[in-house]
Amino acid sequence: MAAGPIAGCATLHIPDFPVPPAAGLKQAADEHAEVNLYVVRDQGDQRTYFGTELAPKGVLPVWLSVRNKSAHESIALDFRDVRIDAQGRAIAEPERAHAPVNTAGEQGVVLVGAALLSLPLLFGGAKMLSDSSEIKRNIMAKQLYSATIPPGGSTSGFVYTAVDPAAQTSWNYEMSVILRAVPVPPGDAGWHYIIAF
Amino acid sequence: MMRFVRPAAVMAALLLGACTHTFEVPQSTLAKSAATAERSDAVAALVVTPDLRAAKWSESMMGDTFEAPLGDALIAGAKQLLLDMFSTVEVVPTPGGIPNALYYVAPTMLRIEHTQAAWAFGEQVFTMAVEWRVTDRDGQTVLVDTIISEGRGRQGNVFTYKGDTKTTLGRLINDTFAKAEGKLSPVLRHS
Repeated sequence: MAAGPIAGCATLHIPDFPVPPAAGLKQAADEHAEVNLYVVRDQGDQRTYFGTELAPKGVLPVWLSVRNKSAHESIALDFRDVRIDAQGRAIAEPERAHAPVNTAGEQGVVLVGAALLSLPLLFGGAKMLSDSSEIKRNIMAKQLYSATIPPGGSTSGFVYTAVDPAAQTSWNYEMSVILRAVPVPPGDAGWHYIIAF
Repeated sequence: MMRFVRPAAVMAALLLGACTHTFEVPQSTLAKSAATAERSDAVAALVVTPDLRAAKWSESMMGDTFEAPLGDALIAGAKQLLLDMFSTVEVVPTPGGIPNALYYVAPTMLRIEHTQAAWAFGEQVFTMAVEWRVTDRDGQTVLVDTIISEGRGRQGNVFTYKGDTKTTLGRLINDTFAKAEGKLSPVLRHS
């Protein structure tokens, strides 16, 4: 009899995001690296892998994967060099050195927590607080971060970009990524990859 | 009238006043990974910025603030990590300025999030992202990588939550430097 309520108070479990099917990927590649992108537009998928529907909150999660095609050199990915433009203007750029999501996206993340925290703290309140904190933690853990990719290796993660909830399907987005061979000399221009979606 | 004002003011202060609860953050308790003889005689520099010194976790709930100052533990752990590999570690505010430094190592605390349990016997989780940037004496970046570390522990009740949270934060710090050693050692020990 106690199992039901106790099980219902267990911490929310949000699964890892699986590697998307190749058919859904958009790609830019050259002899150095392969950059793949997958947009999680489906709100059912957002609920599954982020614990909540992000689109109504103005956040679009974009999965990015970078594979190092070299057999000899490592590649540096700095999250500050990942940008998303929409309709010709920047909507996702690392405005702060220690925030790997754009400001609009981070506001969306805050809203995710705030929307759940705004509910009255009744009996179910503690569970709601627990769930919302786990949602925020999961979003942070799934983000794309800076990485040095060894030869043949890869890295992946999400970039959370701003989106107009009413117009998200009509925007033309463009993601740009800069990669550099390690060691990276000061001022190195790197290799540029651009993907439209 | 004055008889009611003062107690009313005190009541208002008690009801409206917000408290800040500060949790102690233990320093890393990882055993030294290398014998003294395995340390390089070269010099490494640890870049400690104001942001790193001020790194902290902070959460507000029902008017109260809960926070854990992380800066001291991160700086001490990073310095010990480098002392395991180099006989001399200089602390600098920015990369540069140490003529004989082989590497400048700059940790940056990017984000920290906390999952709180619904009940005292549930599990709380701290997850932290720390970026490590290593540049050589020529200013070339030889490593930029991010450690995602975790500390898990009991949420605790009103009597035990401070100690339980301190234990959980200690696990977070240990996980941070265990993973950092794995990332940095292959690069820094090949000097």
